[in-house]
Amino acid sequence: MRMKKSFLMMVLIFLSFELCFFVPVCHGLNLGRQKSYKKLKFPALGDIVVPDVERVTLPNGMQLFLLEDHELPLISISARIRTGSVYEPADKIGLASITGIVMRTGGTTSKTGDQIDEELEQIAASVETGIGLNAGYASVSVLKEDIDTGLAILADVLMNPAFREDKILLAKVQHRSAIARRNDQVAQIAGREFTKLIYGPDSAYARHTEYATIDNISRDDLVAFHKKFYYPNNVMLAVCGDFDTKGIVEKIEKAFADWEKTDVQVPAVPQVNYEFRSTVNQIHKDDIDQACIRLGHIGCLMNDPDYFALIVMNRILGGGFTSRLFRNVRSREGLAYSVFGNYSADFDHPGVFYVGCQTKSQSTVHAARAMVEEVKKMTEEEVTDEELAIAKEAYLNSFVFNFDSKGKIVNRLLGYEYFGYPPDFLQKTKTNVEKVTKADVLRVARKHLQPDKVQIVAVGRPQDFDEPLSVLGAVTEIDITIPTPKEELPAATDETITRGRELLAKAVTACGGAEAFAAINNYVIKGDITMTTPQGDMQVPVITTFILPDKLQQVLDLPMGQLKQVVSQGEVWMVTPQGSMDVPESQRKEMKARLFRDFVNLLRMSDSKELSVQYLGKEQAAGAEAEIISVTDANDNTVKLFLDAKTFIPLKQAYKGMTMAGPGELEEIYSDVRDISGIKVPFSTLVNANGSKQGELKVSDAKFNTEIDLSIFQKQ
Amino acid sequence: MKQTKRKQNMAVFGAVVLLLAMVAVLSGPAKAQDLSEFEKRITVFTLDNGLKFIVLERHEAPVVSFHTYANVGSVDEVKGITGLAHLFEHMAFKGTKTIGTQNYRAEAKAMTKEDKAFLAIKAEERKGDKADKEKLEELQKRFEEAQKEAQEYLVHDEFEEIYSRNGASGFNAYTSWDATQYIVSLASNKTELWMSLESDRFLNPVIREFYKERNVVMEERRMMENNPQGRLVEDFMASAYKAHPYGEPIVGHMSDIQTITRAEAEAFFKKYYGPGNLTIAIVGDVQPEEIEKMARRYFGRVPGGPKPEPVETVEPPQRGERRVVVEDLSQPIVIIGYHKANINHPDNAVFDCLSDIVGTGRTSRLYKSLVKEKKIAIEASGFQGMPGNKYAGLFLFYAVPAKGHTNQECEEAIYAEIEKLKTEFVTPEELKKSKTRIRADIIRQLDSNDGLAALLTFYDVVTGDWRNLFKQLDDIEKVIADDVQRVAKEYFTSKNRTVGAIETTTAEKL
Repeated sequence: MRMKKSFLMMVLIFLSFELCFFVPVCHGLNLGRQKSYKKLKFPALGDIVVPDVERVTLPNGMQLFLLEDHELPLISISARIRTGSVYEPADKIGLASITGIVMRTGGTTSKTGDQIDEELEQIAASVETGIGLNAGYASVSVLKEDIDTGLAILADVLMNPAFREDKILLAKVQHRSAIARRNDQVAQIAGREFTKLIYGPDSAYARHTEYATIDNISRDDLVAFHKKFYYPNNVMLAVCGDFDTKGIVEKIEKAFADWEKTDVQVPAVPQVNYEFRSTVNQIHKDDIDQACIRLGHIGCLMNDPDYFALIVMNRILGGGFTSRLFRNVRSREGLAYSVFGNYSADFDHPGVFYVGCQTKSQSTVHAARAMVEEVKKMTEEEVTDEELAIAKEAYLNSFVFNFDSKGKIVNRLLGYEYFGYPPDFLQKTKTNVEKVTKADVLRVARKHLQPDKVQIVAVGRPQDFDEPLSVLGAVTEIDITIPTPKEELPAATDETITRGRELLAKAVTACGGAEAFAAINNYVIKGDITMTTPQGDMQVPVITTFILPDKLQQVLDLPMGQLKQVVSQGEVWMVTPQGSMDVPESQRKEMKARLFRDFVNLLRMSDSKELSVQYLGKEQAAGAEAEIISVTDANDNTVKLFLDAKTFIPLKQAYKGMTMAGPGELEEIYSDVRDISGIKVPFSTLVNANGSKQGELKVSDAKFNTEIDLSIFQKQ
Repeated sequence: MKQTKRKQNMAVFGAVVLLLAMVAVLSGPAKAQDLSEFEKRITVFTLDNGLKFIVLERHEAPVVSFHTYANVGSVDEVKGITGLAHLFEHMAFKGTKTIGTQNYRAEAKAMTKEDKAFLAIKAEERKGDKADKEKLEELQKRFEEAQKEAQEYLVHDEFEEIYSRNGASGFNAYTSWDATQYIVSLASNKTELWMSLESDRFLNPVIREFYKERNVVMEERRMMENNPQGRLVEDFMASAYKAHPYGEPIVGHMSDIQTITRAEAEAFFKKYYGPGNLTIAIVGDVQPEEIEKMARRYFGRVPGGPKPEPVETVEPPQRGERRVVVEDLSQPIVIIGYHKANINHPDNAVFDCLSDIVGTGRTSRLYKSLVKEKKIAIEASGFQGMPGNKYAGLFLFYAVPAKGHTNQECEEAIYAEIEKLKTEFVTPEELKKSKTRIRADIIRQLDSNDGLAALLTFYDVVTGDWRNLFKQLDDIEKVIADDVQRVAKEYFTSKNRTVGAIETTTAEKL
């Protein structure tokens, strides 16, 4: 069944607009002269005849949008599939994205992904797939003579993906690396956390992957996700390039002939229920001297009747060089290199309204206030005639660029159809923008902007801000520490708990006995750490002082000076030659965990009620047979202890923690265990990260219950 | 686009991602016969003052793109004024004697006062601890007053506003080590508007709001510093180049930006923005005869002058491997660079094939080895064209380690691939594939007015003839496996190497 829906869009570019404020002076006869721009008269731009997009529905329900373009010998196809990450379960965030990637990289039932790579790259072609928030995508780009190959591969990956395990693993590695890197860029942090504030952290529009959600995803999940959505009647194709329409429709029909129509019910995307509120949120990032600010609230849908006036309002507030934000925050005050703002609207869920900038730390609050002030002004009085004219002309005079490539035209039409918008939505937008008045702009600003109820997030060094952020409202600290995957422990039984406790008690006895441990008030360990770095090994002298149970100071003599790290009664800080400073949350947690895991400290508090202990089994470790127990503290730090099956002296410990390359598996292997004042102390500790050596501690001296200058635990 | 900076919202030449875009620009030819097809639609003319125009007719839609390529980049700066080429690019949006002002004469007087006060402040501050605090305060006050006075004559952002309300698209500018480029697209009936504005821009520029814009550039510099990859690229280039200005950051050093004067900016303009140093491409729905007439009328009035000399400094050969480490809280990344000749050297075509074979796509050697097989990196590639093409640049390899893996592992894996290039021939299939892909790449770049305008000016200025956009195909066709091996052996030596890395520091790991 074919139906041709023809709609000819006549786009008129209005010339009458631009001279409304400049006085036109006619120098018509003096063609030999240069003219000031104010005196220019422009010839009429011819009507743009928008080419017909051919629409075809294949017998299996697949919808095609086709447009010939014979300028270059290329053909491109983009597919859209009704699916999206909004449909993935909350404990498997990342499933849609990984499914979208592995559909292509994991190959098909007849070819591996690597074979497809070879086949495509030999002919300089590409076929790619992916799944975004509210749609799945696939694309083909080929030289026209290779269209059969391109189509065959597209059909194969959409219909018969094999989801090979090796490529699932690769996609997971890439997702985990992205998690590890997600706090590197300040703008990324601000954008992500702001989005969570607006939609809610668990909303399908804001949530993001964690190590745990990636770990939860299996091949079966991918197969099921694909099976749920990928049917021809759930797919649209936009096809553009150097082809004959009739011919290519036949080719496409043939390529997808075996794909059968199925009844597929895709639920509507989730609703957003936003409650307007003011919040002020702060995120510590110490390694930058600029603050990144975002503030705003929810936005609207594109089918909101106010959408057209909002387009004009947007341009006046935040659209480009001539916007109020740009002029007042960037140009006039020189506060920021980058400042931006947008009341955004989406096809199928409300967008966000945000303004933001990146400015030097000392201008943070000033810039935030200046931006709120600009938003407020929009709601207080009408914009000027001049501003209205600029905004509307800018939109209308650049309208022609909507039609400067055929690919744009055909893909836009597909997009409207996908989201259930009328095919002439763009044309309607233009007609309505033309009608917008100053009163409209004020009306929609008042209705949609709530400058008194904005949520603010600032990322940076609050200690350097011009004023504390609290002058803007009660401050909430947002912890962006990346949750490390928790140690997966089997469910404890009475039996494993009892056995675990017994073994831990044996370890205590083997290392000196409960009494000897209870007598320890403090101890000092001196030695050298050898660190493995790409530049070779580096040796650093280190002195660690413990006052049990909750104080730890570690002094490192680094080439650039002395570095002290201190944990004292729950507080953590660092002292460098430049002075004392707070440490990021991630490091705070890590240092506290470090105190918990300490060889001596762990054994000393072994009978504490706060610890949960269980037996895990037997395994070879450090060349001996080992009994394994897990110990977890009240803060959910877990460490696995490997006890020598004969002597019960710990051979090694293993835990999840931070490595040079992000969170990972660490282990400490003990040797050269000596007797100091009746207590066993390992004089050599090898640290492995993800199986490779990261460093080694060699102890030269260990002392218990010595004189300690308590002032080292006072924060300066 | 080339390794340049966007006027807004994009960190300068920082992100490695951005560097990669280079590959597309440089990887060359379509079919040689496309040249004749293009030649029919191209008109080239040079005005008496030396300003060259390349006009390409493309009547797909009633729009046109304009690309002004000023043959001046950050390499043309000297110590003490680093960042000036880029700062000037910002100033080129501030208007002219008639645009952006209500009264140029009065404004100029106020600006002179501003400059005097600024110079006096600089002189006093140089005294360091002995500077007279009261005097400084007084001078500062005078400076601020003069600034306020100059402000009164301003018509804010008029230049931008004219383009904006006339529906300009892609109105922007870029500064790279090699060049400064100004671009805009308009509906084709607005061609004369561009003629009027762009000619006025280079005939009557006024460096207004100078001190304010410097603050904006300082924020831009901070933004680059706050980007871990920006920090790495800056330190890496400074290590790779000790003599040639490719080693200096485009955005400049903070202290230079802080102390550059308006007079220095004006002198820089006089020296480097003469019509003989500009090349303009106009691509779109235009009639070349009309363009030529208008160009003579509008741009003919710009006085000619001597062409500036290119940079004479030649980077001396390295005496051994250089290494630079940025210790950072962010995740690791490693870059390895080898010095090579500029784009006009016969080996350039070999490097084009080489970068395709080692660095482009999922079947490239680095991706296969580091990402697919060893799984130690999430990204790995190799490409040429950084920092620039006019002078001897680098061939760069880089890898982004996967979580749980290190720079060291990636570095070793890259060296293993380089060793293979030296000891074994690339396969005939690899070579054929690289040539096919380079050819197809260029066809894909011919589909937009602004893309074409960028290519035409780039090839014309940097290689001496826009035709090289197509002609380089002939050189690429001639590349054989021996060439690839020879080039790998000759250039990829440890002595010729600079390695840069971000090493993650987490205090608790120490």
